[in-house]
Amino acid sequence: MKMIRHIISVIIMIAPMQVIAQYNCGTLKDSSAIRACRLYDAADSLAQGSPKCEHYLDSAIAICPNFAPAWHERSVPYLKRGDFVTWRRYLDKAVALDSSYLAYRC
Amino acid sequence: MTRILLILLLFAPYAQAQRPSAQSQSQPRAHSQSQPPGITHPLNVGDIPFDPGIDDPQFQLNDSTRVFQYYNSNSWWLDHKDAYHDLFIKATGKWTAAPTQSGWLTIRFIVNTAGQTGRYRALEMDSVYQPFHFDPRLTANLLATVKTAHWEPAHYHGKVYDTYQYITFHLERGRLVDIMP
Repeated sequence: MKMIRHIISVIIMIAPMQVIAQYNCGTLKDSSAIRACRLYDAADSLAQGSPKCEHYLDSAIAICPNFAPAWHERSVPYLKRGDFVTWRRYLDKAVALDSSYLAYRC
Repeated sequence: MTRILLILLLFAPYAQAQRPSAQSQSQPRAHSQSQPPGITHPLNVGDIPFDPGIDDPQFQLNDSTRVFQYYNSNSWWLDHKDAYHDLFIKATGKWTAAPTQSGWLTIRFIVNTAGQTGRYRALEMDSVYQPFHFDPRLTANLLATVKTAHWEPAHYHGKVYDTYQYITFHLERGRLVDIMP
């Protein structure tokens, strides 16, 4: 019994770490949002800011312009590489679609 | 003992799963690598291609397909920025009461493996993140100061890499209030 408790504790600790940055596409209902979400998740495994990654995110946005995570992810490499005007433009779009992204604008 | 082994077994796949992602962050990929057809982004975000009109042709990169970002390894700048603070304050000295000179001025450039710098670009925006042009003399002063500073490229696993670096100056009415990153 004690051993089972230990196993459960470890799984609880690890589980959230495994899903960081991955969006749960299964929670979406709209088919275009699901397709955009899958592209977004695929982009997550690519080098951030690389042509391929940007292409995946642009495709996600083209399929579902209301999918906020893709707009947010599109903004990140601009922030990290000093182009704050472009970063803000993409982030503002994410915030307009989902106010939870407001925290990234502070 | 059994518990330790069990915990190690549980963590092993997690560590394996994380490795490629860490590598992709620290080893920028070549922008000439295979791309999907119809790709609209020929370069990595923030890349600075050579411009014969403004760039020094003598400034050469060791490997133009693999240029690190300053955050891909330990950053020489982050360890030494305090030493340059007064130098940059001096560069903005004449503009300390300029009411229109507020915003963020970013200077982005490359440090090659020999420690030389080039391909400087200025990115300017006002206090509300809109494109803006600072007084060209203020920009020139800060640019000249950045050029005189000593820079080191990224070192990673015993190798030296060409590296993108940027410095952002936060100015309020011409007064330098912060230097980032």
